[in-house]
Amino acid sequence: MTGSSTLAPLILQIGRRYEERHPGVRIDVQTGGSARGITDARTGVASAGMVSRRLGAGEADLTAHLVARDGIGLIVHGENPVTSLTREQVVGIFTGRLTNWQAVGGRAAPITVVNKAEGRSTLELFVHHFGLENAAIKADVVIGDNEQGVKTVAGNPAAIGYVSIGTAETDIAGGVPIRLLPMDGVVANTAQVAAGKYPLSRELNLVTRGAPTGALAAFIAYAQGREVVDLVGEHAFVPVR
Amino acid sequence: MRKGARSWIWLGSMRSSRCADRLVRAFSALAALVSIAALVAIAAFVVQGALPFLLAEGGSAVVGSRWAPQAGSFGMAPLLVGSAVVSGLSVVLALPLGLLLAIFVHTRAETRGGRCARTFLVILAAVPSVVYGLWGLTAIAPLVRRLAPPGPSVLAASLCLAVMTMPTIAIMVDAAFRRLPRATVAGAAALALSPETAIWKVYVPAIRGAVAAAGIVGLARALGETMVVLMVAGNVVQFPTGPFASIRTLTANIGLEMAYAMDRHRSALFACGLLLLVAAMATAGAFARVERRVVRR
Repeated sequence: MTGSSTLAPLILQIGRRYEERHPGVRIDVQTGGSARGITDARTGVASAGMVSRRLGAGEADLTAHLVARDGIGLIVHGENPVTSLTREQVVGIFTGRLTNWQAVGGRAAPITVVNKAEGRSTLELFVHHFGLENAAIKADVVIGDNEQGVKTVAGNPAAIGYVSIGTAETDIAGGVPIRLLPMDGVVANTAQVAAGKYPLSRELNLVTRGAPTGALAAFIAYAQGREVVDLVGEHAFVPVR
Repeated sequence: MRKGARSWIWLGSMRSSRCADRLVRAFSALAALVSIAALVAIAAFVVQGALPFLLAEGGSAVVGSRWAPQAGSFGMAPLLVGSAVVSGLSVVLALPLGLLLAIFVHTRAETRGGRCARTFLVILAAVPSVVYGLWGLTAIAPLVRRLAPPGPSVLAASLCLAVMTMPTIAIMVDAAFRRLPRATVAGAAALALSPETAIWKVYVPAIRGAVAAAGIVGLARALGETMVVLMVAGNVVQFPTGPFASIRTLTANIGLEMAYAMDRHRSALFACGLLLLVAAMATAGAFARVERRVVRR
């Protein structure tokens, strides 16, 4: 298995559990991005590619097997009185046109824009959803993983960022002072993501060339099944079954 | 008879100790060889990774000021400056504090307080950097934000690094105090100097080389630190405009992007690593020079 670094940690754990129950089968996991997952699945370098998005029109030669979904939500500090932002307001904030919370109905304070580091698929999805360009985003803080994003926003009442909804939900339940904002009017929670109603979400797929057979088919079925729902939850993704 | 037996035993133990000596010498030579080989292998690995990028872009990337991998820009100047400023400032903060702490520990070496402080320093020096990073992110950055937003900044990162490197500096300086020649200590006592005068006018000038060396070790540690700066420096690629500016260091850049980088981008990150390696070697060179001067004196 090669490809998406979003999906790799989950597949690695699923693989370990599968190996324990099926001695003789070895699951190797390597990262390198969704693009590598596509290439390696095509050339046969990998049995299956890990791809953290829906397959495109030019990729009809591959078959996608949905393992989980992931939703991305805007987060602000728990004390921030702003309860929703329009598309234009989000774009304005992230491109540096709106720099004070007063401009969007909040308390007067300069906005701290928390952005993801380049190369993260969360960033690509966010940027794509809002029709932005990487270079156009005026960030005050750049973060790596979701947890760092949550802690950065929780420590700054004037911050706004975006993270995986699963991570944000877990932290909110644990008392971390952040709040998820609705996206295009849809409440941001894992239930909406699971139902496919949340607009800013992505598929996490294993892709194969043609229909898988034998041991590979068994592993893919296992990765999609109920036996690994706990692992999917642990990684803050949303199970599909 | 008894005397003869004793000398025989003495000779025997000497023979075995000579054998042990030889063994120790062989092992230490082996250890030295392994560490040199490891350093060469690491350098070769980094150079090999950086080569495709260096061949294509040359040294121009080092002076470029825009880092936007997806747009194909790999300017490393802001990263290099960021690394230098954050680690430099951390030493400026940590060195005086470390010196004062070492003086405290040394002057109270025989008291319970002094012993406690020394143990405390050793524990503090052993705290994993990720702990300092989390503390910086949840405590220091919000504090700095109260002064000026956004919080994660040059100042926040330097403060965390200073707290992290200070124990090491204090331990090194304290060790230098303990190595002071007996003549120096006795001389100060014979002059009936007050403890304060003895420390500031005699002891500290006598170990100034060791203090400089401790500062350089602190600098090297700060320069190579990744986790802490990744969490609290803010990571925006820009030249620092002040202590409250969010900046990215070479180490944080590698830490943030390596897992997601391919081809040219990946090679550019190796080039960042090479730059760091060169900076580390320069620091080590400065350390060696200071050491030599101390020894000569």
